[in-house]
Amino acid sequence: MSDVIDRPVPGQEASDKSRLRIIDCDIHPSLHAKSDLNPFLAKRWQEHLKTYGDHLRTPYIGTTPYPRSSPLIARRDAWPPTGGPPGSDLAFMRKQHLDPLDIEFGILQVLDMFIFSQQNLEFGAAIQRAMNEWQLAHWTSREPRLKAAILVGQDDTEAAVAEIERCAKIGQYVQINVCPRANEPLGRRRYWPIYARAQELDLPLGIHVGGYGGHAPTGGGWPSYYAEEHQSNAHSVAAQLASLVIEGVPERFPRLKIVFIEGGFGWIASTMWRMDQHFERFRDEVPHLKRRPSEYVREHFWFTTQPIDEPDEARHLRSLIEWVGVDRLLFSSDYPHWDFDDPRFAFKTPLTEAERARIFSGNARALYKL
Amino acid sequence: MLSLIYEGVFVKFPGLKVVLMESGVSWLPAFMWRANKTWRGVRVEVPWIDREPAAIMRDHIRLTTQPFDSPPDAKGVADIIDMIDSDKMFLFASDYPHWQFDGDDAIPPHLPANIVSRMCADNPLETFPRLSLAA
Amino acid sequence: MTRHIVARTTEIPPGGNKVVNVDGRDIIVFHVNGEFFALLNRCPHEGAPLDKAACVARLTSPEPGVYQRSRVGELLRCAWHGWEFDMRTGQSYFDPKRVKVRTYPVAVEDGETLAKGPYVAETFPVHVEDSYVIVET
Repeated sequence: MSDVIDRPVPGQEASDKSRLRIIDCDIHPSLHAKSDLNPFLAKRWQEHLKTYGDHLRTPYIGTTPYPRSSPLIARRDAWPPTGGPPGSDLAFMRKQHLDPLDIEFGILQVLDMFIFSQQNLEFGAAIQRAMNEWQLAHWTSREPRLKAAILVGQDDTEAAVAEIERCAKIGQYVQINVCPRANEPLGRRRYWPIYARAQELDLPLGIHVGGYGGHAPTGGGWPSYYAEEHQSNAHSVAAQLASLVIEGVPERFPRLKIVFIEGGFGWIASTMWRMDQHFERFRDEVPHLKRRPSEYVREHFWFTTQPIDEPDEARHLRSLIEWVGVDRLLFSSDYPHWDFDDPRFAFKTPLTEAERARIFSGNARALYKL
Repeated sequence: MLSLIYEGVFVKFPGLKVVLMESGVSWLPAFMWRANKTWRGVRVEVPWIDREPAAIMRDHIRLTTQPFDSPPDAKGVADIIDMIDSDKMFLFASDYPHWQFDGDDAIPPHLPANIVSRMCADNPLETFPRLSLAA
Repeated sequence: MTRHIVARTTEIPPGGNKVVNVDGRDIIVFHVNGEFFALLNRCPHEGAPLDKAACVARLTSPEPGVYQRSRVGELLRCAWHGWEFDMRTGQSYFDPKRVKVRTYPVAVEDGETLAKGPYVAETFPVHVEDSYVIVET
């Protein structure tokens, strides 16, 4: 019996305008073309972009190693009528997403240019700076509801910290973004200077799924199909959660706040239970941990809700939410991607008004100080 | 597991069962739901998978119960079992002489009685056809 | 059951669709290979409108590497999450018994017949030389 799938979609009239203000913690803006970055790049890098382009650890130019099930990974109705790829047109984004869904704030998560995975580190540094400037010039300065994040390629830690300093002086960014598929697991010490700055600046560290660090996306090796790779996003963030907690990042940086974006939240409970059980047995291997892993998770980590889990029984979704904790969840839509969650219909389990308020805006408002 | 399913191994070998050992159990429900959710939308990439991945898991995958990675309470364990929606998937294992198993009992705590009874004999006998109980 | 004239047949090219509001509901009419199908313009999953859905074939396969296509254009892949629906019956591919889009009977009639009534044509002037798509709700 499926009361989740069978549950009728409420009538348009009943839920057209959400009574709640919504803070959408995952919106993807796009470049029209790579040349959009030219105003933010020195001539040398404009030339490099045109002639050499990306140097990634993936085989194809201009597309991802796993073909997505929809062009540019997007909803088919998100292509702006004036042209350009989904997510590239602010006016259309307002019309299709921000206005009708009454989005109070949207946090931008930029994926274009695979900044985190550029192997030419100098080029990567130039691109990340350009993308950080582009966010302000094209998006947040024109639309006060949208908020930018400082993108940093974490494998060049020195350049990452320099970029954080530069952007922090401008002061218009709400988050620092790194990538879960980097050269090493995120808990490793080589990345700690980034976390130190994030803590000092009181900016949450955002980790959005994806990227190409050169390692197979699954523990079993390189999968053949997007159907597998898409799900491996959840596994990769579970691994990174374990890395960050067990290597001692929240212990070392007790004021650091970490957000996992687009990993969903169904996997978190069993990861916490497993870490706690291992901690019982193996705590003398990790004496730097002063608390149980689940305690670190409950104080230092947040998780955006998309892609929301769809159990056959609505009450099971309820259990997942309770196991993770309502306070840890941040609503996200992932607009304009195909696996987008519509805030009116994605939660197919009853929530109290108070819970709704926290998940759909309250938790994000407090975390990002909006 | 996703690789076994999506590459069509169980289509090609419909009698095959795969036993996952010492992999934990409580991760399975979210894994099943995510696989179903993805498949419903991306099915055209793998059209030889003509039913939900979770249904394939229930038919072809078995898990040993040590470690379980249990929730801390009986209700949580009952929820996990309910979510998995199969009494056939669990196989008793002690993991002797390793020390990773949970607690001091070989059988994880709070498991419903029907699960315990199936996992100790019926499921292993159905999974390993060359086993039989001593007369 | 009320019959509504929703379009001239020439308005909806093959492979195209038109969304009309009938009785307070958004109904989408598809034209596939000379036939017309009408469905509620809302995916049962998260309410996506279906006008940008991909019109695809029924794709099956007995084993990896073998692809069988039939009924080209008669299935929809929802524009959002890609759920597949049969335009004829509204049934989803993955759970035809329990997950469906509501469908509506469709007829095509020429203007001459329609001029005799009965029909609801609030905004449609009917010309005897044209053909019209009729949706019954």
